[in-house]
Amino acid sequence: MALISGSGPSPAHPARDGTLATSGGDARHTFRRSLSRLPAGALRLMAERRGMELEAEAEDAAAMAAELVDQLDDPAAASAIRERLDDDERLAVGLFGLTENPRWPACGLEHALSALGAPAAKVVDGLLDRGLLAVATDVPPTELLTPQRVVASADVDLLIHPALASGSRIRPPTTPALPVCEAVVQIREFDGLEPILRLAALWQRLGAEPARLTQTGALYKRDRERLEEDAVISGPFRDALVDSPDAGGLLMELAKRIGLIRLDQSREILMASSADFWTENDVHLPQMIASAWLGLRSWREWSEPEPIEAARVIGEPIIYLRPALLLWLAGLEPEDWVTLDDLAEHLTSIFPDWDRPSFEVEPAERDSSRRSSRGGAKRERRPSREDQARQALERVLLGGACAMGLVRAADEESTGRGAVQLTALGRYVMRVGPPPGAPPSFEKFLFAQPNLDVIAYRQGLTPPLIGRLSQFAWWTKIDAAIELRLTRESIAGGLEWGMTVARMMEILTHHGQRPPPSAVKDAVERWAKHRERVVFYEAATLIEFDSRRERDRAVEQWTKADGTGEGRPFIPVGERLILVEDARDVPTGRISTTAARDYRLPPERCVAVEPDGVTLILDPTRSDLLIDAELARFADEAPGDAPGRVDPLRPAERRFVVTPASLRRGLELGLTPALLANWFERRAGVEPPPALKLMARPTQPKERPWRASRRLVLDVPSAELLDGVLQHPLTRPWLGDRLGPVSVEVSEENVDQLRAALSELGVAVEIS
Amino acid sequence: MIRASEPIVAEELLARKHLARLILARLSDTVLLVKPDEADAAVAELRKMGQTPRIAR
Repeated sequence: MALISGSGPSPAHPARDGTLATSGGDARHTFRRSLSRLPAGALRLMAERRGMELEAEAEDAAAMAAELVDQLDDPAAASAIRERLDDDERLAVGLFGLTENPRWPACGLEHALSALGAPAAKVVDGLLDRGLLAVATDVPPTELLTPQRVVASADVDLLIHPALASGSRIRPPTTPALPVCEAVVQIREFDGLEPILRLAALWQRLGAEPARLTQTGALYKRDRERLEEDAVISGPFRDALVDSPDAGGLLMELAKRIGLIRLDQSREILMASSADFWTENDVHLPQMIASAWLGLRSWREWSEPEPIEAARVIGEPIIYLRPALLLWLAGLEPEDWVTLDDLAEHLTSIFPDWDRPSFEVEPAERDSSRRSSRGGAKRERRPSREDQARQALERVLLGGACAMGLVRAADEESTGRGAVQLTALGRYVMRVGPPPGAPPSFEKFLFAQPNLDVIAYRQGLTPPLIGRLSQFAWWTKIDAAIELRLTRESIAGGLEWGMTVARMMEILTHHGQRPPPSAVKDAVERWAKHRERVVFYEAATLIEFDSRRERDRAVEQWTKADGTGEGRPFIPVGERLILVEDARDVPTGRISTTAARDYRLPPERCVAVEPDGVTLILDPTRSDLLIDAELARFADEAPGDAPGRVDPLRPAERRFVVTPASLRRGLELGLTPALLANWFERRAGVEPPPALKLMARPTQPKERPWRASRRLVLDVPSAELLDGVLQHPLTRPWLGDRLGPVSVEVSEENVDQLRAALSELGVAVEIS
Repeated sequence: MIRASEPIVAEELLARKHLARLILARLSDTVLLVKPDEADAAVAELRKMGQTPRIAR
């Protein structure tokens, strides 16, 4: 199995596998752009065939194309155009609508139309002639004027205006008539819940941990293996009479097409859509899934899927047969059955190549290949054409269509041959029946057990309930009875999606056959509380105050004004900050913004060093939220001067003092002189001051004490006399450094010798 | 930004090497600032640690 993630329409490959619902605007634009590439004369002819007069200038193809598209935008005009379509053209237009895909490869459309007994080339020709279909813009313009070539080409995509496709009513083919069974036995029908349950499980898994994509659109190995090893995601479909390959890949593609999972903005992460998806789509979910399956191209019944980021996905003819086969069944009366054998024979009679395995291999080549393979006994045995036809029908009708709840199966009573019939959902999806009635209500279908497993009987499950349970209980087994498990992660996930503990317990209680055990309630409450241990803010607002006192006063006043009385949404953080979770709660009228800071830029210089070398002044207009944490490592804030401030609107400068104790604290936390020097360079633009270097100098365990001694200063009446004393050989040996013009240092032990020498020179010295 | 319910929880988070690498600064005892563009990685790492963080958007 290979789980391939593709993507929806991308800028590079617009609407390649997109849906009418999600890409209507894009599809309309692409359709108009495609028409505008045609010569003006061809566009004028199209208008004439539609019976409209163009107002655009004779050669203005863009304006003409716009007018042709505008007509389809008008509901009344589009309805009139649809009314004038013949049955075969309606089938063609209906194929776009049924598959909710505004873009079909020409070869795929030809294959499906031919299998429906319609003259494909004539139909496409007629629709192109009236501008109701357009050739996609990635085709050379020379191809555009020859519709027959278009139909035969595997390289051409056809586009339709979304309004034309979505409102189209279909008349399923009835001629030649399909032979119907007389009586059937052993009717087998599934409730269609399995795809919904498994999609819900995939949504949960990607909600808990989004998957990463490679550049080619495939899942990274770790995520691929995680999903492949999950039996609920990748196990074979239980509600199918024939196994389909790559169930996980099928789910992934379905989930993307219906919008249950989506790519993030970077297009590298596949993630769960919001839980609102379930409330917005729960009623239509079975039909959405069925339509998505009908139009899937990146998954197919025969082989491994391709990532749809790949150049161009055409796929195999079988993927275009899905709507065609179901349309043949839709042409029967609701109670009629047809055997697969008769259906295969019928298709062969109207379109012998309906079961061709590939668009690459021409039918003639295929037949000769088969003949030669029969001749070689040692060659690999290939399936006979009958086997292949049967397999194609089984894979589509008994595989996917059964699992989606579109088809029920039975055995023909007289012959035992397998037979099929559309279900009510199938007839609704194929637009030949009313919406299926609601199944009988079965309110009490849950058993919550003390070990936190929950058993659910599927008779009680509905898409809305599946959506609700999916938000907080982990799907662990999908069978006749469904198993879920409550875990810390699942409860956290439920709270994440916006559920409350009370709501979870209410669901378990309301649908439980007995009240949930106390262990369940205890665990749910405990896990919910555990979730508050760590809060991760994708975005939040921090408001900084001058002092803790001001901050606390603001919290008190704002909380009162807010009226919640619960202390939220204003959460005190640290000394001077308030954290506000929702930016809308910030009382912008009460605060003034003094600075804005982009934290992706290098930190700003916002600290000045006082002359004492240990006092740091913080400029609040340039500081940021990180500076407090940085300074707190090695400095203490000095008391502020708020009361005496000149300008109360201007935030006061803050002073921090580096003391031996505060610096020691930093050094113990791992601060080094080198880191300190780096910090001063970044934040103050200077080297650490000497006073700080003095405190931060590395200390040696056996450092010798600094030596201190007493010294005297000899003051002399004039500089000239001091010059003489310093020069004279009697006095010079007893003097130290000159300290100034008239002062010189004398060490204590030389005082007596100096006094004696000066005495000889007639100078008396008095020591004070 | 990550807010822990108690300082000891913040210490526990910072003790995790892989998570600590994603932290830009510790704003207070309980508040850690996550590096720009590392939000997803930080949430994933928290979950790997067995935390079930509340994600405030």
